[in-house]
Amino acid sequence: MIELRNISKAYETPAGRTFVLQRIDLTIREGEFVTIMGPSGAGKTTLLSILGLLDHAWSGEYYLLGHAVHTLKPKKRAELNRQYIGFVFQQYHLLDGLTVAENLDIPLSYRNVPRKERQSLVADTLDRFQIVGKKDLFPNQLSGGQQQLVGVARAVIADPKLILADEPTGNLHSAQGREIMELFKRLNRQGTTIIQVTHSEENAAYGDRIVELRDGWIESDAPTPRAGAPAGG
Amino acid sequence: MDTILRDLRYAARQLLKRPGFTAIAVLALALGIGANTAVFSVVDAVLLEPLPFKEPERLMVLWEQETAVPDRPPEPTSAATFQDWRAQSRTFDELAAWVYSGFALTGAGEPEEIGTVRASANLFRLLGVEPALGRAFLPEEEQPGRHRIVILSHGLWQRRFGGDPGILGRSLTLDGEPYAVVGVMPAGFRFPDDDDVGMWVPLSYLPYELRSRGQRMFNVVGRLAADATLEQAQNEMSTIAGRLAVQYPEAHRGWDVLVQPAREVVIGETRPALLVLLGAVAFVLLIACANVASLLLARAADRQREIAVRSALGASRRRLVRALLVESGLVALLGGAAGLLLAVWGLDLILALAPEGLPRWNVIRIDGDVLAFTTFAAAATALLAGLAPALNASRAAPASALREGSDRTTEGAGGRRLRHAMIVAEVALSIVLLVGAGLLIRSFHRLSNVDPGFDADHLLAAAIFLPDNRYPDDARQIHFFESLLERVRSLPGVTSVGAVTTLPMNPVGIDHDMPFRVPGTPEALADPLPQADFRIASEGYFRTMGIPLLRGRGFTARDRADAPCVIVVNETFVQRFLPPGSDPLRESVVIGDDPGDPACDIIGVVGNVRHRGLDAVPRPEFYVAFRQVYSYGTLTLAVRTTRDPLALAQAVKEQVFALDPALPVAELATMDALVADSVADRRFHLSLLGAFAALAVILAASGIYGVISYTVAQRTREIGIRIALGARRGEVLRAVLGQGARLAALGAAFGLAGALLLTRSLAGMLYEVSPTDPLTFGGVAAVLAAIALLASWLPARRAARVDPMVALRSE
Repeated sequence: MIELRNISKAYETPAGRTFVLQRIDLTIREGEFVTIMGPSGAGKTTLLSILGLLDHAWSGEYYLLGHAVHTLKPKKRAELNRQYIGFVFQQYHLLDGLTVAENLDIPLSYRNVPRKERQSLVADTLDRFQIVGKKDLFPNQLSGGQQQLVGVARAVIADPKLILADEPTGNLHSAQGREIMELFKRLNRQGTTIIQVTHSEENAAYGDRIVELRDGWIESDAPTPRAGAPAGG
Repeated sequence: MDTILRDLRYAARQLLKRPGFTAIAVLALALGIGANTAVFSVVDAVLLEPLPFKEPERLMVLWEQETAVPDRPPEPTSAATFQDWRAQSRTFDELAAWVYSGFALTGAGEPEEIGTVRASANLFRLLGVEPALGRAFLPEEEQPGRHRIVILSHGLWQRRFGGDPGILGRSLTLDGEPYAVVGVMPAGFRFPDDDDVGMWVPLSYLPYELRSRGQRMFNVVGRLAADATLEQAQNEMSTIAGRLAVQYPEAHRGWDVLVQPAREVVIGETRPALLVLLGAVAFVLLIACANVASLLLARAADRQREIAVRSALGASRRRLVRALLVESGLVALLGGAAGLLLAVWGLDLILALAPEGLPRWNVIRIDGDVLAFTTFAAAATALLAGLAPALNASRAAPASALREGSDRTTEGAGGRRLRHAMIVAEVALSIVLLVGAGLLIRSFHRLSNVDPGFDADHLLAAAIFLPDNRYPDDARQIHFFESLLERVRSLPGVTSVGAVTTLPMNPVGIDHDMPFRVPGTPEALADPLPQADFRIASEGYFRTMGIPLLRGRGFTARDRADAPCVIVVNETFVQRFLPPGSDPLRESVVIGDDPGDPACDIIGVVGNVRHRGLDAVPRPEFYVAFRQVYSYGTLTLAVRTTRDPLALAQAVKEQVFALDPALPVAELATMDALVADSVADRRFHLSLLGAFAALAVILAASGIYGVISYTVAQRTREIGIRIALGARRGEVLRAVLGQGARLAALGAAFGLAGALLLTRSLAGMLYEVSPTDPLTFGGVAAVLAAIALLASWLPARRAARVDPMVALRSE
């Protein structure tokens, strides 16, 4: 599904060139649940931005579902983003001025989905995430866990093939965090490819594979050790 | 459509969520749009709307123009010349003549002087307007004896006759003679464009009017033939003028005919001033736009996270720009609606301030054209104020949505630069307006300090017209005025009284120049003879007016027709026409160009009076004793009082009625009011431009304040760190002040340069002040610098008070 070849990203600074990512080679198959880990400043979020087609200033080759992203213009890349990718942010990033239902509607409206269809998709999703009762509330009327639930719902509503999650449970307490991770696991079983960035070993255990970054390099890339995996899920 | 509605709903919610921002933005735009709408409604009615006549573009006004003397204003024509024009011209379907007159309407109630127009019978047909009641004049009604019929204006019919539907056929007593009412014109009909005209009577020439071709007193309006152009008409009329010059050289040599579209004549000199005002309000609107744009930029900076998230969720740049434009569009819509309300109110204010004689003021209103203009202004505003911020904000990198704490990101350099550019633009535009207002203020101040040549304090003016059918000869007219002066002089509260053909600054009366010669001087042989302003005055006039007598004496009751002819001249006359070093009191002047005219001795020299306005250069003048010359049937009384002059108005009226109960008093006003009216145009322009400049400065100051406050709020943490690291509070204060000062200085530089280019358009409205007056430019720059510093000082003080611990924790 994803092939990165020799991806690098650097900033020009007065002290010279500072690399954030260096010669990243990475292949991710459809249906995988990949965790990116590493210390602060290792380049995790940058890598996620590049994967999510939000960052265009890099070198190397990037193939997404057969599209050679590195040859595409930003506009075309934005189209791919709309077509295949859903995002979950650490800060939830729900839009304050919109209700839960309207927040869910946003990605659909950006994809020019007809109104009727949007309404039914929003209704289905509210139902599926069991937040029908909250549909007219505004984000600041929800708890952190509820907000992130809406965040995930918003990420999947347009039926993306790939979900990118940046510290999705970073701002949640552990019970809420587990709930969100279970949700990702379910989505993954239903066929959605998931890439998450996390510091948490516990969250990493939900995935199949851990990519460790350090100073912009891939330090290791290995299947998740099954031993510590939580029961159930 | 659906998504636009969604954008609209979201925008409305965003605006409601920040009522402070919304209120300020809407108010700024409302002021800008309101001022523009109000001024545009004046411009629309005065300059753009066609005249309310049939095919108004074919209506022309014909003048006689003296070409021998440069810069002479065009003049009306004589009855005889008009008849020649009518007989000889082919490029006009019709020509009609008209002349101002006045009739004393007596009968029911107090006698009243009604402004009347004597007009050719075909005038109404030529204009293409039918009376609302009754009929127009018939050609044969121009014949003397059949001419005693009258058509009323709608206003007079309503006011004086209660809109009586049976008015037709009724007989009115005008100047003591019966006139039958044959028609009433429709409401809103005005010809000429003058509030004071209440009646029209057929033009039947009086014997003296046909006598001289030099008596140029008839205005001529013509309807251009369907196949004729203005140029053809002008050529033809010039040819006719050439023929007349050969036929009647004494009256027509050196004269041409000027054909001018009626519209131009009506609009007159109002156009440049109105265009300046329109330009000024456009500046106010631009400043309001810049103000709102900088507010939107600051808002967009606060919303970078939201915009980045939307973009990460798949919003295209177009969608983002559209959503932001919908928001600024909504602000502009609200601003436009509020502006329209302000315009209704502002228009009343403008009309209240408008000088008498503002053309077509009766049709000034907020109509479809004006609404269209407001809508356009609001739409343009939405784009102007919204586009740059929207384009800038939509550039937000979506990846920043992933960064931690990205909702507190500082905005990019692009947004900051744009916001600073807005401030510079606001300051520059306000400087231009301030300089314009400053120049007008300096002019007005200079003008107010001009010595008019008389003392206007505690003076009452009253104009009296004696109808010539009841006062047919000089003796009766002189007797009337002698008796009236005597009666008014004895009123309690009156210290002195005098009479003159025209008071200074007074639009009513008789004011013209007269050829003369001073025997023994080279000019006495000149052809044409020199001319000087001619006034007829009574004894006591100079003392009453406070016009200083520099040499000799004024008139007395002994200067009668059987006494030697005497005149009083003014200073300018002495300087211009008497031999240098001669004693004026030993000179005499022959008035008129007839070789048989008698010589009159100069008995006094008086100071110059600015008769035609404070800004008018004093002209050479001579005064003659009213008992010694042909009386014009009209004099204006000047009454000096010990108390409020208007308190004596009724008493003066009663003295007139005591002498002649059928005689109206046409004009009763204080001299102060007449002087004030004479500068009403200037006061009007000054008030409006001043108000716009004040508005501009308030908007610019709030713009500077807003931007600096915003910067301080954004830099709170940085300032806290600096203070924690040892920066002194004075240094912080200076740094923030410096930022405001730099922007203001840059704006001022652009503004002063712009003002240098633009104030030239004000030249015609200035009085003894150069359009590049350094004092005004310097003063304005200083005022604006002070305002800019104050506007930055308030947020700077806040910055200097930042508690470093609070600032550092706030992240």
